Amino acid sequence: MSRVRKLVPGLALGLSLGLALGFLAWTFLGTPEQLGDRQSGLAMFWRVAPWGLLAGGLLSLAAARAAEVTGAVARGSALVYVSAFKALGVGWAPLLAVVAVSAAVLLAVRHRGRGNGSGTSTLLLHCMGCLSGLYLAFHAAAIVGAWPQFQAVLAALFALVSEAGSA
Amino acid sequence: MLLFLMVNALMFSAWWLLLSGRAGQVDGSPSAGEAVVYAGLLGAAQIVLTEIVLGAFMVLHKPLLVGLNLVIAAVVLGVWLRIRRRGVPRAVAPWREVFAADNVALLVLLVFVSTWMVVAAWLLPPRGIDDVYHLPPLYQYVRQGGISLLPLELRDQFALPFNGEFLFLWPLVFFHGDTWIDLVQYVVALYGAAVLYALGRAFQLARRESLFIALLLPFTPVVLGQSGSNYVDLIAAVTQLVLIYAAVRFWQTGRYVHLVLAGVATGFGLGVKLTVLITVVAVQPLIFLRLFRGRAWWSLIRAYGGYAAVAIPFCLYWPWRNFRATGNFLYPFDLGVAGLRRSADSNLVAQLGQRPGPKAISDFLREPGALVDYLFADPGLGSFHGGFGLVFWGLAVPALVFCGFRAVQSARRGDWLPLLFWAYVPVAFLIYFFQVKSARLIYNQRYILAVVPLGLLALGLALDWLRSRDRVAARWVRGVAVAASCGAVVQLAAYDWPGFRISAAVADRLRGEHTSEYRYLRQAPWGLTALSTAWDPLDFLTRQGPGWTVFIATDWSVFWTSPTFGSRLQNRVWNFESMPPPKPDAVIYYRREGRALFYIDAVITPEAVAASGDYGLVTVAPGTEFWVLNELLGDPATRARLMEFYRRRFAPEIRELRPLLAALPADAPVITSHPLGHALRYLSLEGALAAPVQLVPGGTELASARKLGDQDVVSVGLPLPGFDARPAASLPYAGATTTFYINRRPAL
Repeated sequence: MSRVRKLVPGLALGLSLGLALGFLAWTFLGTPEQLGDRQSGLAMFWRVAPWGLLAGGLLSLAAARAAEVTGAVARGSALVYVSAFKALGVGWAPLLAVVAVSAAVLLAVRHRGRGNGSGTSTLLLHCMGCLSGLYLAFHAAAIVGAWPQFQAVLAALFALVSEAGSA
Repeated sequence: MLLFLMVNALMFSAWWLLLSGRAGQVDGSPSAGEAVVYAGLLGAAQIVLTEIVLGAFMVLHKPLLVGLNLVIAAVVLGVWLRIRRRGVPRAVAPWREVFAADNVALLVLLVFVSTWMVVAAWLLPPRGIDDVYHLPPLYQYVRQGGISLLPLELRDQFALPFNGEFLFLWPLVFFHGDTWIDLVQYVVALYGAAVLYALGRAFQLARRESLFIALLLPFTPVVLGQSGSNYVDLIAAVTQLVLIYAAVRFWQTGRYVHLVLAGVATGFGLGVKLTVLITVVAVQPLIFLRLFRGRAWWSLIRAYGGYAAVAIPFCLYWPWRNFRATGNFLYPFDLGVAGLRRSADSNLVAQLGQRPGPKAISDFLREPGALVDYLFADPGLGSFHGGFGLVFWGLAVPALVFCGFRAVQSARRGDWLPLLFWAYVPVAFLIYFFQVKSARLIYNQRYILAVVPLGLLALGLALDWLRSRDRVAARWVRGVAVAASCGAVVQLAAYDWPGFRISAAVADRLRGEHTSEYRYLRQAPWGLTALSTAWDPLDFLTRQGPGWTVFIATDWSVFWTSPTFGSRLQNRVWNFESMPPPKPDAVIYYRREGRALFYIDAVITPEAVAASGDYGLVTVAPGTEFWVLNELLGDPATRARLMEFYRRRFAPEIRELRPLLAALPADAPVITSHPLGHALRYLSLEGALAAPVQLVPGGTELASARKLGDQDVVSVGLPLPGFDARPAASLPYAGATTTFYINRRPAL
């Protein structure tokens, strides 16, 4: 039982890295149209994500002795999910994510051991990030599409307030 | 309005004062927040119960209703004055305890959304498809001063429990108008946020975190959509949340006050919507196991009996009424081992048949991948039907899994509350998938809205845990939640069911061209757009005066009636009256391609109305006709009002047409069903156009022209077949050129 417990943080970090790698690969490989469409986007994610999980698992096994570094890398890589913005046509979002992750990882490695979370907290963060990233990719277009109508609402409210003020 | 707010403030604060001195205690001190939760429940239950009692005795009138509620409030205050021990308890937590940038951001967003909601309720009509069954009975109850059963052959849903709708009845009776009823569910959403805050505190969540999750609730897409509608799913969900809260507090404290209030929530909830039954069953282990702890059997039975006895008065009336009317307590449902099913004699089944298709559960078992698709599809998003949003599916779902694991760990340590509590979420989803067909998921997600606040609570607990391990990550997650809430508010502007787009209404008001709120039903879906061309003038013409009795006929599925009552409930629906006058004052038809008109009892066909010569067509649009008795149209005041309506409603068309009038002959009447006909009619009534203008139903121009003999006739848009037609003028209109033809009967 205790051996299993010892394995849990490493497993959680491996899963976290795997999710991040899978998600990043998904956004690099897909076109904005593919990523934004739920049917094709999900199908593609299912194809790419296992490879990411495999790579994440191998990486965490290889770095098993440097658990603190692995933890910092896994934690920093949670920023990878901003690459979901590629679905909105922001083509450089995955590259931006890579830069942000690199910076976060460097910072995290330098400050490792100071409130950098545990395996479980990192996994929780990645699960939230991955689900949110996917949801965002599939629905952000609808939010952006509503922007002109929202502006019209803002203008109407402003006109009403101005009228009330001048009356 | 001020009086309404004061009466409400008095009623709810009376309960709050009483409860905050007597209710459960947290850490030995009175919990003012807890009293807010229960005061909300008792205040709402009081309103509904008094309405039912007065309605059942056919004395549902404003003075009596308000007076009775004020008397009850006075009694409650009197009891509080007798038993109070300390001063008024502190209700608000110190600001610094809840201050955080994200909480401030959400509060600012809340102020903005509240302003938007108030303006939308003020300027726009009830505009979802609230009319399906939620509103017409209420309008009829106000008109006749009591509760009855509207014709079940129209909608069997008229026989559903109406506790939730009776919260809409409160402002409806008070103002004798429908303006503010759209705000009721939004107030309930804010109250739901307060309940969630209290639930967070019951789970030892910090005030800051509790406020954060509470503020997220109103920005859930389905909550935003429901907030502007007169559906009751939000009311049902918040009632379920109160029930869960009371059950949890009873488990934690063992105090009977929580059990009693759980009883009130149970009864009230079952009277709102039968789906509340899921939650009622789900909280029974919490109640029963807590009662079982350290009590004798007799004491247990007595306490449980007390809980049930408290619940019954709040939900008894509706099944009793249905039993008397139909012989079935649960009409239009039957309760069996497979859950609730529509009765075979249900009118909905008769009209639509049993809807085919597999249940969602069987689809998910056959293809588990469909469950992931369901998650990301977020069924119903963009309407009041559903849309749990990014915060739920992206952040709260992992948090729920996390809380589930921790609940199992707690159970192994002997603490069963978390497991019993969190089990509700998967069980609710399971029952929902078991009951609902896959094709209906996009319409019915609202049935399990109660899982959203529980998801947010899980998120709060997970964030609390995460913050102690990784402060930066917790801050990021909170930031994502705030950003997602902003996104949900932006998306609200694109909703159709119901619409929140206020720009047209504001512009009309500022230009002085406002006619009636029903004009903006043109932004609504499914038949409401077309019918708005009849309801808009009807409301405008009748708002001053005693109102008219109006006959309506459409096809069954869009047989909407509530706007016919008018925004001040000034009219009566001829079809709903037990002894209507022989001739309706006005008649509305809406015909859709290939659909037959549906009649309740009496049949008055459009052809009969047109042929009678008793009625004049006031407005006409594709499929829609609005006829008014010529006798009424001859009244100078009505005529002036009609002119004013045309002037406001068709102001741009009137401006465009004025320069063309010289081209139209003075002795040739205009016969048309074209939209420009309304502007011409105004110009004729004003005297600027010498010829009379006769509006006719679409496709009957030729028949009407033939009745005039050899006289020349002006037609709009198309020449009359069989006549010698020559163009007299043309005008760019609605993206095309509209030509006016002078039609002369050919010499024989």
